[in-house]
Amino acid sequence: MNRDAFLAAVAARLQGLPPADLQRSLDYFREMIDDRIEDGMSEEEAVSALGSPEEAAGRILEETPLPQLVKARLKPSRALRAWEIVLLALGSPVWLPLVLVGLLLALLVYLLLVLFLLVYYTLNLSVGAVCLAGLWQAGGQLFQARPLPALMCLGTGLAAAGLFMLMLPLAKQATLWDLALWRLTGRKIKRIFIRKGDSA
Amino acid sequence: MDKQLKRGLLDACVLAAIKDQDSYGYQIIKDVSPYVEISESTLYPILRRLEAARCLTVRSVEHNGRLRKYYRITPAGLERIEAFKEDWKEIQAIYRFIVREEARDE
Repeated sequence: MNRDAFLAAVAARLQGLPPADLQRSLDYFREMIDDRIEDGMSEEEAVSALGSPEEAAGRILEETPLPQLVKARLKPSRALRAWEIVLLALGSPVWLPLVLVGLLLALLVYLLLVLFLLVYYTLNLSVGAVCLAGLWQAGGQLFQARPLPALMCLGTGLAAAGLFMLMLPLAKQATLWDLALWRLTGRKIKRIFIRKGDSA
Repeated sequence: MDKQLKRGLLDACVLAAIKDQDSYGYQIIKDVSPYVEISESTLYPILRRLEAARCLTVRSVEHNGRLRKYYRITPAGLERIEAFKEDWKEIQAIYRFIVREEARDE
């Protein structure tokens, strides 16, 4: 493969990215090929040293923010034909609600997860509050020379403290799981768009 | 090697390659590749990322009738190298801890 064919192949896979970004990427790879040729390689050798255009474009797409990637991929590479527009418009009562329901469901699942997390946090915090209140009351009762209620309050306070300590690690872990899930979903969506571009 | 770990290492290596004097893409590859495997396709996103984080600046210089991009480290980039060295001390301490645990198991 010569230099121009390599650059054209990269450009084809980066289609839809902002023109300035596309130009920068191509300039970079052109400079790399020219520098290798200057270093004594033939054009073919210089190009093959860079690896495949798919890999070069893939790395750039992986680093592209998701919204930009989606925008680049959804931009049709040609104008829609008249009958396609008619079909899209006529079909909209069918596909539009379906897409909306899908999106809403995904949002709902995520909100539910966040809600569970919030409920758990609240629970954990209230247990912490019970612990503090129990200990505070124990001090008060003891001050008024009532040892039995003081002992009960102390017991409640200590039990709540124990429960609080038990609950805390799970709260932390759940937050980490939530973040990991979010990142994974983002990566998966990105993959779909990168792959879609490759097969096109 | 773990992907995240290698990513952090590569960022530091690229910054180290331009630390003493400005350098260009192919030269950075030649300087870094004896130590870590790095390809042109890997370097490009790293340079973009470091530029976005203001760790380096880019300027075009004419060279043999074409343009070549030179990368220069910024104070933020130098700080990033220092932060990497600090992190590394912690990692070494963790490594010693892990190795000690293994020695006890055997």
